[in-house]
Amino acid sequence: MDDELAAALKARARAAGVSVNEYVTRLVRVAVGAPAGEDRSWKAAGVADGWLVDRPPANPRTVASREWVDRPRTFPPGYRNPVVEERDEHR
Amino acid sequence: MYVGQAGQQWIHELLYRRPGLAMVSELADVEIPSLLSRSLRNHVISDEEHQGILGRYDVDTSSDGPIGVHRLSPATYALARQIVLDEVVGTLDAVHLAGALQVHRQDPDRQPVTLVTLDRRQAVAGRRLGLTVVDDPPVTGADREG
Repeated sequence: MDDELAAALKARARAAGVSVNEYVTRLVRVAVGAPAGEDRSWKAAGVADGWLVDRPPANPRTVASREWVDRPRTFPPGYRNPVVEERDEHR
Repeated sequence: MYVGQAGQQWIHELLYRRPGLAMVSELADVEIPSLLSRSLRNHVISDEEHQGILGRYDVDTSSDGPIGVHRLSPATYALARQIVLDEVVGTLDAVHLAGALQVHRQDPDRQPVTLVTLDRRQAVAGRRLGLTVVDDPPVTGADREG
């Protein structure tokens, strides 16, 4: 690693309030975890800088497939949708 | 997005086919399970679907998922406080807006934020705050077939 990059890394880690080691770990975790071809550079930067939540890979017992989630269902739009019309807060 | 809305296909395109662009507030960690529990109670989804969609949210928002989760901070709440004073929005909607605005203001040239919402008041407030807003996602043929 050249001096310029090392200095920039130290500055970014200091700004994020973490050690250089922790900062690099955050960057690598996002970069390595991203499937090939998917640009997660913005996410890596956000996690490293602390404004995105750093969340380890999830391994839940049951996961609906993307195809299942893609399966469209017909509901009225927005808050006329019966699922969300009951708001969580009083307005 | 997980239980079906008009424009759902457009949102899935954003999430899964143009990855690296989507972000939610940390509030969604509570709101999504709440919405799914309500869907389960109302027999909109089955128990198996409930568990599966919760798992999907966890995977999508993990480090190798397509969705980033914006961390709530004291600055987020301070901005949300100002938003409820200036705009006609509810508490939680203001917190969502504050998070989007924080990210947008970090570097608006490099990472302009587009707010996707189906709430009209939140859309109006978002535009007034300078965000680009999509409040009427295109409905595709696949949406209508559902």
